[in-house]
Amino acid sequence: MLWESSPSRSKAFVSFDAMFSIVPALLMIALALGAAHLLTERSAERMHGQESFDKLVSIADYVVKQGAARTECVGTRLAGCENVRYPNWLESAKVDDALAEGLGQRAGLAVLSIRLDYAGPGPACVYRLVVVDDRKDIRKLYVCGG
Amino acid sequence: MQSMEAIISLMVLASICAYMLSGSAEQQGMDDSLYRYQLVNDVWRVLYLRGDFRDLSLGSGDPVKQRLEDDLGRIESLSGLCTYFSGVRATSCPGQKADVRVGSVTRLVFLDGAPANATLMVAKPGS
Repeated sequence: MLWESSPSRSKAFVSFDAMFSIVPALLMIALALGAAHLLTERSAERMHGQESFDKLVSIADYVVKQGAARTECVGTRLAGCENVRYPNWLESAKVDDALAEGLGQRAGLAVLSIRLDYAGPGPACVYRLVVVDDRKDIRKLYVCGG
Repeated sequence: MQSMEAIISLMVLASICAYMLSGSAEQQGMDDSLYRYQLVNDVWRVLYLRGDFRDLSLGSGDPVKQRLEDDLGRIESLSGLCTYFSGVRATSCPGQKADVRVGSVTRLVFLDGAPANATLMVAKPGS
């Protein structure tokens, strides 16, 4: 008989068929793994960027409301006075490198600069609108870092 | 063979899903909603601290309103943000269309001696 096949030939055909099925499957697995790796990398980058941005926003908010905010003693000498803070009203003397250094260490940022009017070094910056000193001039407070 | 086909179909489906998910995640971008809210409140606080709401009147020649408009102009020149004050009828960008809304807050102010709601809307100007 012309198409009579031996058991070994039949086995070879089964393996060949399986190979043709497995090759695209393996290619797809490789493609899926590559895509998953790319997605994970992008997601990690985005999360790191978001984390740094959130830290800068929090630091800027702290500086505006507490760190460099103007404080005044309100009350009488007899009754005792109470320190009152004014958010968004800054004392320019309090915005210095020591403040940035302390906050940068606590936040775990390699670079942090806090400056009035112009942006310092750092991969990302946020700004806040404030009034400064007795003249209450409107100025920008830049918090940069990463 | 059938299970092999099922596996391949599943993988194709999973790849398409992953691709679509990655696309939607890319479009989302960074969440800066808290920062935008803080910026709007900054505008409010700065105006308040400068006394722009004290004895405010709706009259066009009112010096307090003029000072408020000057401060809104200063904020715009510093930050590029347009401020629209409904209720008080003041803006730093007259005639300009606001394309990107940053946020808004509503506060109670004294207008001509009577309490009134004023909504402060901050936006990035249109091109």
